[in-house]
Amino acid sequence: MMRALLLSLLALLPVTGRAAALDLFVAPREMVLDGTFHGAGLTVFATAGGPGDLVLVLESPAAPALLTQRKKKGVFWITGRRLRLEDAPGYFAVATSLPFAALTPELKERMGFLPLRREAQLAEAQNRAFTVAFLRLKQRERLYAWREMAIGKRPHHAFHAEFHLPSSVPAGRYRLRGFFLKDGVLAATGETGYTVRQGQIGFALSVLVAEYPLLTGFLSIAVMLMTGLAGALLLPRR
Amino acid sequence: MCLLNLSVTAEDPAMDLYLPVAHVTLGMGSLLALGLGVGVLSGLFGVGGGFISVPLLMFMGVPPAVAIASQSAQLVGSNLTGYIAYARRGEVDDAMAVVLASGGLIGGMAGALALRVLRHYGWTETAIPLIFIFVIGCVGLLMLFESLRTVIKRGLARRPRVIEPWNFPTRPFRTYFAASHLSISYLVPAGVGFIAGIFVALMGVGGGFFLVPVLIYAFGMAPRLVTGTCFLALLLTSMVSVMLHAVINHAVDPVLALVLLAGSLLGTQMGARLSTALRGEATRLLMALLLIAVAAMLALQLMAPPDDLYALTTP
Repeated sequence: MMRALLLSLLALLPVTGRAAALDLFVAPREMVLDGTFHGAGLTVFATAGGPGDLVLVLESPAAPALLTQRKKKGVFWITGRRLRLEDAPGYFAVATSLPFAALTPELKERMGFLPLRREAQLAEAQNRAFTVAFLRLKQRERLYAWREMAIGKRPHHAFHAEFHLPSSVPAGRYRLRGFFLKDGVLAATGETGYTVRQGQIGFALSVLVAEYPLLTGFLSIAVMLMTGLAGALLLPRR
Repeated sequence: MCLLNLSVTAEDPAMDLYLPVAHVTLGMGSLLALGLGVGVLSGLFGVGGGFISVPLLMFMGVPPAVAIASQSAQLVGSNLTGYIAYARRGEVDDAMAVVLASGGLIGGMAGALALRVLRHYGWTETAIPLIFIFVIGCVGLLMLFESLRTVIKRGLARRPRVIEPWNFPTRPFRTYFAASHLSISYLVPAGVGFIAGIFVALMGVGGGFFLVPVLIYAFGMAPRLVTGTCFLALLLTSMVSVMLHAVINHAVDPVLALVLLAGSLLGTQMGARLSTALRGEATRLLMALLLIAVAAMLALQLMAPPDDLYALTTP
């Protein structure tokens, strides 16, 4: 329903006189993480000022991650080398309407084709295996994705793409960036936001735990004491 | 290769529970069943049950730090119900419990800080199972030998075994525990409490499996006072542990703790009824086998080649 409405709205948009404009629309406007959330699709529509191709990059805020390597010590597989990643986004997805091969390295660099661009340490040769492992693990969890030819072209220089957000996506304000290419050259860019938020209880709890740890401790103890007391009264031990 | 995959997602999404601190969605039914199982063990063996629930929560995908911290919170509720039951009968040595808890406070701090360090360096995934394997494996084997020896000796001579308490120093800080008729240095029970505090904070286990034999066999306390005293000492220790985990590790998931506690309150009743049907040696033997089985399961998990040499966790 929402998709049909957006498509009809897109058809009404004036396309003349906007040689290099790029407008991005997302549906739904936000996603709520709660017990019923098992992953969802995000639909993106875009309109450009003329014929060309589109690259979309959707990324969540940075989510610190710790990558560890297992090594065999005696009979056990234990934790060996580790790498802490502070700047890597929790979710990162790229979709294009053209083959990746058509994109020059400069364009990829400008678009932020790899989510680890800020991790200078990962560029070091000794950490290359970690980089590859990190991207592989994220892709396995469907938190990172690169999909070429995944953007459909519509009449009036409109585009349509779908992103899948798995159940483990982090909450936060997501950034959707669009790059419109005309004859292989970057002609316009666009950006919009997208919100993934926790359900009310989940949000309140995560804020409480992160921002007010002392209060969390007191409240947890109080709740446990009250529940334990109720249990002792209702179900007394013999 | 993964030996166990207990990642549970209920078929009915409405029955799923999103745990905001652990960042996982688990079936409400499986969590309640886990709490129930922990409660049955608590009622049957008089232990906290954390040695079962923490490894199972880890198998279910809950990060070790969150599993431990939330289980510590669950212990607050379950220890309170246990304490009330024994306090009503006057079977608690309050002074001994407070001294044990004073040591538990320091032990809890040490345990919570150790968990923080392990988490920082990404060692929780292997260090916590290794600690579990060592501690519960040793306790399980000791209990197995002890119960088997009792059964065999009872078969040879029907004379109850008399165990002499250890001779602990009375100085410095000589303290008289009137309820237990015990006069020893304050540092001895405080030291025992310190070790129990480490167990609570670092492993999320009640510490009863350690405290009960020490108080009975080493201190020579009257068995009728021991369980209630342990409940009070561990109630105070687990409260301190929860505070420390909340402040230092930001890892207490109140939702997870509450669901586990709800299940365990019901399970304790069932366990207590079951315990009346079992003889003392049989109960201890069963407990020993259970501890060894959990330790073996964890060991096999660590010995199996991992699916991927790399693992991604939240620091």
